[in-house]
Amino acid sequence: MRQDWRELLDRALEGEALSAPEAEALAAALGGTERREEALALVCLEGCLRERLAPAQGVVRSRERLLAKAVLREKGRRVRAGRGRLPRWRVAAAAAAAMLLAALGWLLTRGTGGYPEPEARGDYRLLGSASAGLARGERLAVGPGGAELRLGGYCRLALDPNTEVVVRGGERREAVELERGRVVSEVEPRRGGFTLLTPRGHIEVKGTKFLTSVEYPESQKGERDMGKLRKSSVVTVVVVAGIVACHFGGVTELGPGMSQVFAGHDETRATLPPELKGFKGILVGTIVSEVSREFLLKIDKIATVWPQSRAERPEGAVGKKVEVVVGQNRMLEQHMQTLKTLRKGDQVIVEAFDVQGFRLTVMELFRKAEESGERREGEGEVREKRPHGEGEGEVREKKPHREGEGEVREKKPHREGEGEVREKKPHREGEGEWREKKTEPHEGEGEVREKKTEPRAEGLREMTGWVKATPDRDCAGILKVVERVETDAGVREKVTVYRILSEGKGRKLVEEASGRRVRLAGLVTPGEGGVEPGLVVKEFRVLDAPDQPKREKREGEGEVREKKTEHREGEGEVREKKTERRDGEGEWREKKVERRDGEGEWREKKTERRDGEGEGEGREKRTEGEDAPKPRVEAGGVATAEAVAGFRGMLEGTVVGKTGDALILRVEKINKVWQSNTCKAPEALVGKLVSLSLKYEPNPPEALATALAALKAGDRVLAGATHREGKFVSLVEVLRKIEAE
Amino acid sequence: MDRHYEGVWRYARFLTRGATEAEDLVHEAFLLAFDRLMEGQEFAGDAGAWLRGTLRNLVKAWWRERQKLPQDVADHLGLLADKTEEAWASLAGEELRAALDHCLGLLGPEDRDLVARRYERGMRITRIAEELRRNAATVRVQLFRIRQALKECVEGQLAKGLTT
Repeated sequence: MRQDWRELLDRALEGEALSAPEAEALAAALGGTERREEALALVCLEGCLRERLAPAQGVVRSRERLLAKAVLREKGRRVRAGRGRLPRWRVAAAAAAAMLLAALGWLLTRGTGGYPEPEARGDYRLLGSASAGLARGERLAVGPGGAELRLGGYCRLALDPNTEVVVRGGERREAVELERGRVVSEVEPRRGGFTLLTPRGHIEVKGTKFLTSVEYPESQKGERDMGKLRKSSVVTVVVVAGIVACHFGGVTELGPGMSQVFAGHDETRATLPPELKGFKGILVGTIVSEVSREFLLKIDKIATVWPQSRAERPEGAVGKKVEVVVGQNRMLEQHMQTLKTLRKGDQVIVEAFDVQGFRLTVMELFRKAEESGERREGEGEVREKRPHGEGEGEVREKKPHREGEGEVREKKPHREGEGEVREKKPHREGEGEWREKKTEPHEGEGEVREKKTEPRAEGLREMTGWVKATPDRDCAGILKVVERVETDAGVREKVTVYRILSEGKGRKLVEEASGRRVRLAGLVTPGEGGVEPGLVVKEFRVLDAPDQPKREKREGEGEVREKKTEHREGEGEVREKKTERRDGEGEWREKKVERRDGEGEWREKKTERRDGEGEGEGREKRTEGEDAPKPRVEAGGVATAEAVAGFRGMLEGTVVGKTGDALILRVEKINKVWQSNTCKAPEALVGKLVSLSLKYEPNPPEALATALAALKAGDRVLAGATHREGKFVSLVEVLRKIEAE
Repeated sequence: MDRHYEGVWRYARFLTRGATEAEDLVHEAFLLAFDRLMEGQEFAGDAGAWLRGTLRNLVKAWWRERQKLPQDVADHLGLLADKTEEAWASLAGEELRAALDHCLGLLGPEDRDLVARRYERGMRITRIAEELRRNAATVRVQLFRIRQALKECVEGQLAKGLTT
């Protein structure tokens, strides 16, 4: 049966890859009339079985989707051609389609007690969420069967297949962010507000029914540049009943039977000035367009550049216009409120990152500049104070003055229970202390020093250490904190390893700072049974300059002197003799450390990347004047959850690390995309690091574990990958080493 | 459109083995038909036949491009697809359904479970193999044997029905 043509036919129709000899064998087999008849009979029997056992359902909805698609396509054409409105029959057809959808019927969810929680039904999955229920802020990806969303007992949204939405809003002011796909929204009048957010603007309704779609036309042509993708998004709104107000730059009101396409005008849109490529920081600017979720900002001043910023000369962008979009983060609701207060010509202070490559994305800080009497460009100092609620702390940052620039002090809101994070501030009970002082990029490079006030177990702790991604653990990564305490007997070191938990900012920390030294504030959870204590990260800052070498280095990169003295079974980590261990959190090294003035000391924990069996600890001493180790090449970085969402297929790439049940692959090629794949741009994974793990599969095949065990860093492999949720990707079906030719 | 939509949609599911792209392919066929009508062209004969023929061409292209089947294999499957229309029509027969129901009832629990996973729940063979902790080739062979047995059984039933 191994080479049986029937099996080959089965595999071919299934969408599996056939080798050249197999394809040849199948073609030869199907060349004969008799076998073709047999093949036909087999195919028909399969069809008959499927039809009998799983009769097709949803034909009505499928037909309505066709009608909507026809309307949208025609509108898109007309917009592109710059012509007039749709033929009335097509609008009517769309209206009829939506009405038919309504005819499917639904009953509003009327909570017996409090306000109804968001509820989703149908074929969907929650991205990046471990919880079973749907909560606000969660991204919902709709499967092929379509899904339905009910909000507040008065909003009902029918979601088409492959649609992605994020549930926003709150009581009586429901909101959904439509990132991609089509939604038919039905809102019962006089029961509350509803806002549909799209990449190009938002739509407000009081009581109506309308269809909205967000499409990225270039994506269908294999466009890889995400910047272009976003720029050419097309939002279409078709109103069935009631009136909607479309806030897309200006405000457009649409009534029953009316439709409008809001397409990007790429040629007139500002692009990101080259000086701001990779920018991360705070800037002050004047809004020069109508205010919506996207707006144009004329940059008045670069107030702060975060150490992580890669922009080389951001000051060069002053006076230029840049497109800014309010990003999807926990501050979105607040930012949307801020947007409502802003007008063209207002000056704003905004923390913005270059995330998308063609515009800046608003992060946590976004507000009108004049509110607190901030001075405008060249006035010297911009101060900012935000009210903070009960139990909230504050973060203060002090930045060095730059020539011609003012000083920015910012005070960020701090969540309840997080303790206080501030600069040079007396320590409070139950809290750790956060000292944040912007330093020269290389300060502290040579020495890891920790002076920490002993916090209480329940409070926020401040600590400095090295971050390392550990995809094989039930956590995002680890933080290794080395404290040096001077005693009469000499300098002693205390090493504590924390498991960085995914909650809070843990995942973000590991993504942004793996291999780097960070200062952070977080809550420590006790370790048990030999497991290191956990750490819920609240705030963090990367201390290394962007151009500073990462801690994981490959052989030949930089000078590393290793001194291995002891190796413990199963750990692979070499350490000095332990003499004391306290609280299960750390261990003391009894080694005198001498430090000569004027010399820095470089501590290195080198990851063994060859066989993945463990890790060794080495030590590197570097004195001033010596060349710093070169940074590891990070061509594409780690694949984001968005990039891997829905991916199902075969990846080709190089193993850059592995553990017992996972490997990290630098993707070089998308070998194949399976039928079930819903990832819109799998090519975007090329060049990225993807972690493929067996642990998400209930019963991983033994063959995969065996193949994984035989791999080593540097091997080129072909691997089957199935996205699970968030950034988690399962290793499935195939793991084969590609031998060098 | 109402008259043809369901038939074409089911035919697409049949040709694509229930793939998620089936609906897109159907929509593409209908949009082409709309374009044709907009341009003032008419269908020579049955519009349903035109739609099914267009759908077959789209499925062939899908096999080649999306499924990445080699050209010669895709060509042969294309020839196969061209012959499916008649076979497809025969699937609607009550006798065939009754015979199939009867034969499915004769399957053992293990085989029935396998058939349910594959055709009722639409699971891929590799996924079934993962869940059952078996080799995919083994599952494929087992399903193949079940289909052979069902085919013989159905043919026997139909023959019996014709003679009685």
